[in-house]
Amino acid sequence: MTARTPRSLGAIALMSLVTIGCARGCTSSRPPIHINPSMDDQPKVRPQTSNGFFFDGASMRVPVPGTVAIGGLKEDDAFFTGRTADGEYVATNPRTTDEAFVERGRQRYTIYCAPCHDARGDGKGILFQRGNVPTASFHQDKILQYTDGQLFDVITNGQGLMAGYRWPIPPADRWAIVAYVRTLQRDRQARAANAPAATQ
Amino acid sequence: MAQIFPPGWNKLPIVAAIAGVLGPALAIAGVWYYFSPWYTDVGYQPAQPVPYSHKLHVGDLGLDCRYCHASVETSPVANIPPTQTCMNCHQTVKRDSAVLAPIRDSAQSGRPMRWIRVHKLPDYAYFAHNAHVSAGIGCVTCHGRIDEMEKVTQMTPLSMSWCLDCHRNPGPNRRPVSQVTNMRWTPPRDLSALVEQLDRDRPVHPPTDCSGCHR
Repeated sequence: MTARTPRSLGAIALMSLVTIGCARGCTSSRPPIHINPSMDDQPKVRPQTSNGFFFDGASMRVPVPGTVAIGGLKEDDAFFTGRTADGEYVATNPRTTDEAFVERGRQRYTIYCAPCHDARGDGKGILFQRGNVPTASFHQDKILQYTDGQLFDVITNGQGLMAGYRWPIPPADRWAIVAYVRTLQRDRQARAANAPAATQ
Repeated sequence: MAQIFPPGWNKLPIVAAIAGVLGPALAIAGVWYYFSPWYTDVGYQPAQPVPYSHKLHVGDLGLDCRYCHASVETSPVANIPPTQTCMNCHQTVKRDSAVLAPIRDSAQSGRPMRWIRVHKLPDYAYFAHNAHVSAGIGCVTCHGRIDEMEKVTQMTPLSMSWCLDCHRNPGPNRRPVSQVTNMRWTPPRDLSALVEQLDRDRPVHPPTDCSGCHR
């Protein structure tokens, strides 16, 4: 019947009709079959892929210990660790905390901190709600007395149950978060101070 | 002597005419429908080694995409998070769950999970997440409503013509950069005003030449 189309093409069309028998968009756990795979899959190394060449099977390599990438030298102790050269926490944010910086901090806070510490910093986030995990409030005396450097250090290395957020948050953003947490604290304290006046 | 062509052969011209029209028409329709990435790729929903639910974590718990896919704004690759990210919560929540055993093992040993990639471009196409995010293309535009997916499913064909549709006229797919990860954002009634404003604030010139993506 389909004498005019090549037999293989007809067979493919018929087979897909019969075996797959499924309309566009229906779900399948089988990997897509491309009619012309061409050079879709190349043996080159791409990020986060597996690679049989290396012993751990991963394409991405970690830097050799003790090496520094070009431009990656972390000379500014205060900025990268929150500590001065003699190991003391820096007292204030090494970055200028202008409005844009605090706004950046608010965005980053919302992404990385708010899930647990909640949007207002009371420590009533999803981890507390769902798992009853004790989460620190930023408005307790202990944390109010932290220096900026100490806050930075906690974000970087974690504390108690909290893991360090060194990996997902770059240092500048960690300082922005410190600035925003300070804003949250100041805001709460100003409200508390004004509360009696407000109720009059 | 018997007839060379029995009487049944009288139908030959009409049968040939119908087959000649219907056959190619069916073949064309079949290729058009079944060879399209809308058929071959859309709906791919592999079973992952750990049944991570985006619906739970994004839809119900409200995690931002960037909590895990942190490099999406700065790198061409929207990273799959290290399992240490899972352990931020799962060292205390469901810490003994058997389903999470591979995650715990991976976090402890440092051997990465072998997640199965869902959205895959051909290796000769270079897509940059950071460029698209900073141009105000929402996650949902290409990935669909991830916050409603128990299992991540490919929702768009990720084909060249589909990419070019947007590259030729990106306006309707743009949104304020602050709303990029918002799964529930809907364009305002007056879309053209928004597009105009976005074009003023940050004009985009998506490439439509070959080397834009194939470099």
